[in-house]
Amino acid sequence: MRIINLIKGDIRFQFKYGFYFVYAVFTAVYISLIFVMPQSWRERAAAIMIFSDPAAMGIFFMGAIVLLEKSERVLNSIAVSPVKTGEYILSKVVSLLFISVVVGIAITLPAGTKNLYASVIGTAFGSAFFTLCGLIVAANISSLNQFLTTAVPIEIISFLPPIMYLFGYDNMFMLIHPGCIIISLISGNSKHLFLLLAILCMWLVALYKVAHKYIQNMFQNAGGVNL
Amino acid sequence: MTHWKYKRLSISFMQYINQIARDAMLFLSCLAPVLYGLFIKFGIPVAEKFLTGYYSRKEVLVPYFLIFDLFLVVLTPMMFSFASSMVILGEIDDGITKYMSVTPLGRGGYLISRLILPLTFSFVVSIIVMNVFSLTINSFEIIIALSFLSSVLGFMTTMMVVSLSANKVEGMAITKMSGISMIGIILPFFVLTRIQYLAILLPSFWMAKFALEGKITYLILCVMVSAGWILLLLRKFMKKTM
Repeated sequence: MRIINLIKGDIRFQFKYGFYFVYAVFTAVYISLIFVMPQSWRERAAAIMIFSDPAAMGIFFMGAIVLLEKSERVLNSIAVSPVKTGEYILSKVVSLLFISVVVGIAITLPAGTKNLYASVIGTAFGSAFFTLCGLIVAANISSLNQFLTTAVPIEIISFLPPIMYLFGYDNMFMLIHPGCIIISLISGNSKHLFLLLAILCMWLVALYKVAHKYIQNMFQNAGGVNL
Repeated sequence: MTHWKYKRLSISFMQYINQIARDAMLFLSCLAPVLYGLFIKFGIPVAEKFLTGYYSRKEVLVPYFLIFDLFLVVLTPMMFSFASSMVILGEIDDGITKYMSVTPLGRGGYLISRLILPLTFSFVVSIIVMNVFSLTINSFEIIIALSFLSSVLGFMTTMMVVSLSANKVEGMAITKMSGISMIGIILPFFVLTRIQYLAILLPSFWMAKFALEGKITYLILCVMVSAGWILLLLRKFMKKTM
């Protein structure tokens, strides 16, 4: 029950601060762009749009979310409440995953992706991956600019190989990279699905462990430099 | 302006510079235009050569080289505008902006040190970057005019973020939305009918029209539309920080 309330609270927070409005506008823009593109480009373009925006929203917004929670002393309250670190992380992951998947489906449908299920799974895993990355960075920063500059190298490492993969550099070894698996799934490829999901799960478990360690430290020093 | 006013402004500006230098944002703001400049100066001509061969056409990207230049000229002010927005949002959340307004620096001085001075610096960087990397613009006067307009756009973007958002999270959402205002740069190149005039309220549209046709009227319209937005947003910001 506690986790449901946490997720509901996070969704309400995201709605209040305009995430849903922003993504409604961006979805309309992306769909319009897809419709003006030639048919042969649409699938790839939709995959890049979903991978780089709704799926990656965690790495864009997490710094601001955690810093606001710090400055409004929400983290102090959570730290002394029965909420566990894992529940806090899960709530962030699930709430952002929800909006990512909804936006992902809205972009995928007009693009005519051949396998909607694979695309949805890819978007969901992508969202979880980037939210965990965002949480790891956010737990270690004290300003938004610091978050941005720390997140940039992660974004380059996460975005470049998948785009190379999508444009033909599709060596099997590239599928060790989580971003390549995610973009492959988003573009509707369900070949070796279980193997790819197993690799992705290993990445997510590893990221979760790192995020858990840092978030726990953050709770122990609740408030950080802004207090 | 007296010596003391200069001193206050320079102290506040140095605080800002220290803040963004500590976060490596200053380095990133200067590095990004250089990297993009290198990309368009050396990468785009190679891409053009490849594409003309691949599609057996005389030119593929050449008609759009000016778009790459326009994104180059707006990149530096946008990076500084983003850095300023994040600093101001952080300071609003921490209550520093209100404290500043009751110090001798005042709200005006605060905005000058956090916005005007960084954008003046970015104006100079834009001119240098455009002179070195521009693909199509050779006229120094046009480069100065475009760098000035892009600094005005940067000012407007920062005002939009800090006036319309109540905190960092809303600020990030509005930062994302403000990216759409840059759509005006590509519209005159792709929408050739009168429909393009639906974007008359976007200063970036008039900037692109000025770069494309060189008419001074478009430069004036860009400044006027931007000034209208800035005044509106400035009033909102002043109310918010009272």
